[in-house]
Amino acid sequence: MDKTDLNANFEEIKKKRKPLGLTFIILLLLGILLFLIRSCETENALVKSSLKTDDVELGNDMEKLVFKIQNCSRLYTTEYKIHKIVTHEDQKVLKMGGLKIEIPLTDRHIAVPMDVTLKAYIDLGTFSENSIKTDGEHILITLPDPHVEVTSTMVDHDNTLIHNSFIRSNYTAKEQEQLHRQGLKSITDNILETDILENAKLSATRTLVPMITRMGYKEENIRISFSKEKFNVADLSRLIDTNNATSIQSKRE
Amino acid sequence: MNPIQQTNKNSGWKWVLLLILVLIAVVVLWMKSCNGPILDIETSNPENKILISPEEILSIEDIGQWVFLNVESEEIVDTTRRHFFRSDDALSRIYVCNMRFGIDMNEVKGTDWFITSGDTAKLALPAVRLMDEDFINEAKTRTFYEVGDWDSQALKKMYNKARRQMLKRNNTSQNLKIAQENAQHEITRFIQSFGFKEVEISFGMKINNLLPPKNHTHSTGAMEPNQ
Repeated sequence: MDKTDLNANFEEIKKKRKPLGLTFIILLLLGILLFLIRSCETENALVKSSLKTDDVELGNDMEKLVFKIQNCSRLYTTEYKIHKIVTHEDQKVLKMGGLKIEIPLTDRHIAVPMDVTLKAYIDLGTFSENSIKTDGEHILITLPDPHVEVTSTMVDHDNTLIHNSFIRSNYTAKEQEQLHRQGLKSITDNILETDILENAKLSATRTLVPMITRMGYKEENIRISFSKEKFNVADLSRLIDTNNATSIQSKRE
Repeated sequence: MNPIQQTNKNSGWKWVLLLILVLIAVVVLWMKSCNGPILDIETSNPENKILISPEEILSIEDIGQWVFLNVESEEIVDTTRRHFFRSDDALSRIYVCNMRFGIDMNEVKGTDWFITSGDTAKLALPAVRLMDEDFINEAKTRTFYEVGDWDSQALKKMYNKARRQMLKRNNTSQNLKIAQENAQHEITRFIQSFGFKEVEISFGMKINNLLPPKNHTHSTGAMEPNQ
């Protein structure tokens, strides 16, 4: 083989190597992109967890565990069971300056059915003889406003649906609990759309009237009233117990 | 190829190279003018907001639960999954519960549960017990350590474990006793507000005659923990 043939062969090999090199570079770039997506997810999770320091401080959880026993006197009169399907979806986006490009195959979706039990109650801890007016035959009882409490929240784990694209990480337990909290908040925010407070009053009357008739009053002579007849959005924060630990008013500690 | 052609080709490549450099410079300057990082990957829903979905009222029920003791507690539940070739997976969560102890006035039947005689009222009330089967507020659960992927079934198992632990810890005869003592105090106070001087209460049994023994105010209700 002469020198010209060798050069020709060498040129041919060089030409063939160009597409190979290009493929290698593309694969390398794809790899870097995937690594970036994954590392960004981890970074976001860390940022979120550091923002949540008011909830939990690592290492001190045992000390922070709540255990409270409180005496009370509450008449729970109405129970509402509410079902909600909490849904969430997102996708990774490549952000270059002000430009955003959705990255294919990075979407994920979740649907979490959850059941919330709300109970309305009348706090009888403040009830006293001042709450009663009677002439011996007729009786007027004034009760405090009903309150609403979330007594349980239950996630239907059996029917939770999750879809992840293959390069996305799964929804973590921490992410899922954020969604549960938002679902619960959405229910408590819309509580006035239900008539739970009105029903609580009616139900309190139905529970107390038989007891008062046993005391010798005729049913038609018993009147039960409440501090406030109608409720509006401004009353919500006062009437909904979002944090049981701080809302319990104990008459006898 | 003659030298003139060679020179023209080289000069063409130079122009292309210069154009690319100018383009890169323009792109870099444009990106720098924007706030935030030049190149970033984020999610399309950075605040993790849920989508709007309706709420359905499954049931409305009249209840008459008179609650006298409220126990709020948290329970740590953890689980691990062993791997041969890599580090183990682990998940630790704190569950929050609110357990209410009291009497269910809907369990009172007939009319002889409340008997009056002069200024004395006698009440035969149901036994004090835990009011709810579901007492965990799962939306308040906090995960404080998580390594590895955990599916819904693993979370369900942890919920059930937390529930068992809470029942064991809180649904005790001691708590039932405290609840009953408070019930005794609060109901007496409530009835006395109506003008009765003597109030006699029995829990978990019926009064069959009008004048039972004076000291008959102790509970006979079920006091064993509901495991």
